[in-house]
This record gives sequence, structure tokens and C-alpha cells, in this order.
Amino acid sequence: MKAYFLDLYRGAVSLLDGMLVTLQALFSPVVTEQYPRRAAVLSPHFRGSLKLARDGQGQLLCTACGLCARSCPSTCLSVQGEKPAGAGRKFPATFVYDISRCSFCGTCVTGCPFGAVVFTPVRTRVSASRDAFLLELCPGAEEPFRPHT
Amino acid sequence: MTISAAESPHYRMHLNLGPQHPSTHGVLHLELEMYGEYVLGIETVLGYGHRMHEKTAERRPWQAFFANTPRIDYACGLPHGHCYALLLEEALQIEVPERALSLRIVSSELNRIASHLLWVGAFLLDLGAFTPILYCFDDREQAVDILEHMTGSRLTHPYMCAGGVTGDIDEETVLKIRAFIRRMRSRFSIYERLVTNNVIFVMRTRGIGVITPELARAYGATGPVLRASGVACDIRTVAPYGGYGRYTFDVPLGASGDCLDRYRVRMAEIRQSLAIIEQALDRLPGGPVRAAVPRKIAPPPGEYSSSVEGARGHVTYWAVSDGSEIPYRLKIRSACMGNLSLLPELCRGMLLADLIATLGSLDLVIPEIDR
Repeated sequence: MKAYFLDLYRGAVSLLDGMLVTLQALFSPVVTEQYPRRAAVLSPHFRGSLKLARDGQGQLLCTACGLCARSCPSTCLSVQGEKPAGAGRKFPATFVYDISRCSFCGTCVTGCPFGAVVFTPVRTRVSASRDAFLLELCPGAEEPFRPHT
Repeated sequence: MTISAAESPHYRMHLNLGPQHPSTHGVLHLELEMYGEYVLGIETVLGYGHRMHEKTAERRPWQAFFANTPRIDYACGLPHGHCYALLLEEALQIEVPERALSLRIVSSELNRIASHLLWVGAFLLDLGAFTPILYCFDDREQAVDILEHMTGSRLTHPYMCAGGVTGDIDEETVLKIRAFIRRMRSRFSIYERLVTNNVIFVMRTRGIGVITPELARAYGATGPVLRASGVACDIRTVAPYGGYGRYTFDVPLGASGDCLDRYRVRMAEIRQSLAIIEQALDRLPGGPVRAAVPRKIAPPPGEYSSSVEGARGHVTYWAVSDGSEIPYRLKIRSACMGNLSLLPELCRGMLLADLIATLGSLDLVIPEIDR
């Protein structure tokens, strides 16, 4: 009988102790991020939309070797290069990036031997048209969005 | 002749649990044979979350599969990436820089802590306690924020790559991780008061779903489920990989193999993971975080395998190369299949509410089974 009441007492104390923890939490600072009302703070390393990097002179680092397109698990890149007259190497003529297929895994970024493809923290892209998700990353291309073949 | 209430055929029923039930953790479908509130037998139905990971590996180049590795076990993805990276490094004979080894361990252990915290919260939800998950997510958020800074994403971290890791960490991140270790250590007393000492929690879990060491071994259970039964098997100590041999840490063990022990083992593992991270940061070497890898990854023909300790147990990757840029075959062994196989054995004669507790205590990620 004594053990029974001792168990009851211990149980009640353990429950009250737990409630004390929640009571303390009531007076601790709010940790919830009020996301839609306040913009979320993203890490600068956040993997968002891709872009083509440039060197100090403003030239694209990309040599259109196509390694990123070949190794992409989602086949969301397509690159075509051309060698401008007088240039020592190839430059991309079109670099089409289908962001609707991209899983932001970074296989292209880590695989690129020239460091020519990099992530940006841009992540929101809203459109009613599928074509708007086919991004032409190469600024000199004639058409802004080219259908993915 | 009268039929007693207990023998009435009306008490027997066939009950479908899941695949959309919140306590089946994903898309597990259980077909229960019930007698009143008691479970007579159980049949698990899998396949609802099948994403053809292994087949996908056979269609794209070797390095492309790194994108899939964190998605196999989405709650603790980094050990999967670690395992695949070890496999490729063995195949290509790549020496990984020291700093990369340390960063791999730091990120994997942070991921393990995040996964265990998620489990504690979800397990207590299964038992009907809503409050603890809020505390767990508060702590987990800190770990996920650090992982976001290190890896670039919050859940499916594609951080591991052949020859190292994809990004370095700066001094600010090191300070953040140290602050997290301090904070987490101060939070254990809260969990103790809120959960571990709670009389309802203890009564719901003590002596429920007891797995004996023999049973655990017979069904191929691994990870905290096996260690809660008292079997000291952790790949990090049994067959150290990726530099784990240089760290001193304990392998927490349970005594009776019940749900309470599985909870205690996981909480103790969080402490050990914090100790590993602290040691790794104390002697974080400088230098590059990625070795030079060939542009064309084509391992010589042959079979390769590697094993790591994930948050749920052993993760093994086995690959066959035919010398081309695309894997001929990739087989993944994850822990959840072995752990789930215990459930039909455990459930006989159990109350339905205890079945939910046992199912929760196994820490299942069902899509990890459906690959």
C-alpha cells in the first residue's frame, strides 16, 4: 500500500516537473520564424538558381566543354559552344538551364573544372508559363528562352 | 451452448493501418489481424514510396548519383553520401584531404543529431505527447541552420563528393557549431525533466516491444535498435571508416531492448555525437577540402563496396563497374528493412497502442526501404 502511494507521489512530481519546463518556455524568447510575413534569412551558401561566373575582366569562364550537361542527374542543362574569331578558346553560344527539372544537387558546380557554374541564393521563381523556367544563362544568346530539346 | 463474449467472431477483425496514417512515418501500410484491441498478426505492405534509385544509378554517370544519396534517407542523408563517396574513392584510389575527412564527420554527426531529435519528437507524438516535438524542432532547427550554411541546403544535403566535400567552412561556422554543442548539452536536463522522467512516458515504453539480442541478430537489425538490445555493434568502432578511428567515443548500449532503451540509446548517441564534433573541431586541420579527381569518372571493372553507420543503422553500397562512365549495377543496403522485419515477430499479442509505440521506436524511414 505504501509503495502504491509512493508511486502516485513520484508520478505526480514528474508530471508537475514537466509542466514547470513548459511554463518556463512560456517566458523564453519566441524562436518561430514568421516566414511569409518576414523574409527568411538565407545562408549565402544556399543553393538557388545557377548562374555563369565571370573572371576579373568580365569574361565568362565557361568553355562550353559540356561536362556539366553530361553529368547532370536531371539532364536540365544544354550547352552549345562556338569559337569567336580571334578568341583563344570556345565560349558558350547558348546555355539553357531548365530550372523546373533542377534538384540543386550541385553536380555541375563541383564537377566544373573551370569553376564556371555557380549557385546564387535566388530561389523564388513564379510564372504561369513553363517556358519561363527555361533560363538562358548566356547573356549573348539571341533568344532569351529557348525550348529544351 | 452459448458463445462467450471473448470467443465471439465479432471481435476478430482485419484492420488497415496506413499508408496515409500519421504514425506510420511515411507510407507504410500494415494489415493487422486483430482480436479486439489485441494484435494477432501483421503483414507489412511496402512499395508506396518507390523512386527507383538503384535503377536511376544505372542510367547516369557515377558522379550524378550523389544527388540521389541524401534523398534515399531524407532524415539522415549525409551518411549515405559518405558511403557512396567512400566507394568511389576506393574504386578510383583517391586520397581524401584531412580537412575533408573532418568536415565529413562533423556534418554526418550533425545530421545524426538532427535525425535523432526528429525521431524523439515523432516517437512522442506517436505516444500522444505533443509538446516535446516543439522542443526537439527548436534544437533541430539550430543543427539544420548550421548544415544549411555548410552544405547549402536544409534537408537533402548533397555535401559529399568523390575526393572530399563540396564546400569549406569558415571560422564563423566553427563558432556556430561550438555554440550549438554548448546549447545542446544544456538542453539534456530539459529532455530529462520533460520526457525521460515522465511517469506516463516510462509506463508506456518500459517492457514494450522487447527485442532480445538473438532476435535482433536473427532479423539483421542494426543501429540503435540493435544496440538497445545490448549488442555493441557500431561500424564507426567495429570497422572505422573515414577517420572515425581517431576519435574517442562510447557506444551507448541498452539492457533490456524495450522501447525505453531505444529512446535512451538515441539520447545517449546525441551526447556522443556532440563529443565527436567537438574533437573534430579541436583538431580541424587546414588545407584543401577536395582532392583532384579525374574529369571522367570510370572505375576499373570490378566490384566495390563500402559501409557506414547511418542514424538508423548500417548503410552499405555495393557497385559493379564495367569500366564505363555509368555504373553497371548499384545495390544499397539500408537499415530500415531489417529493423522493420522485427515488427511481425514483436507484435503478436500486443495491444494496438503498444504496436504504435513499438513501430515508432524502430525509427523507420519507409522510402529508405523502397529504393
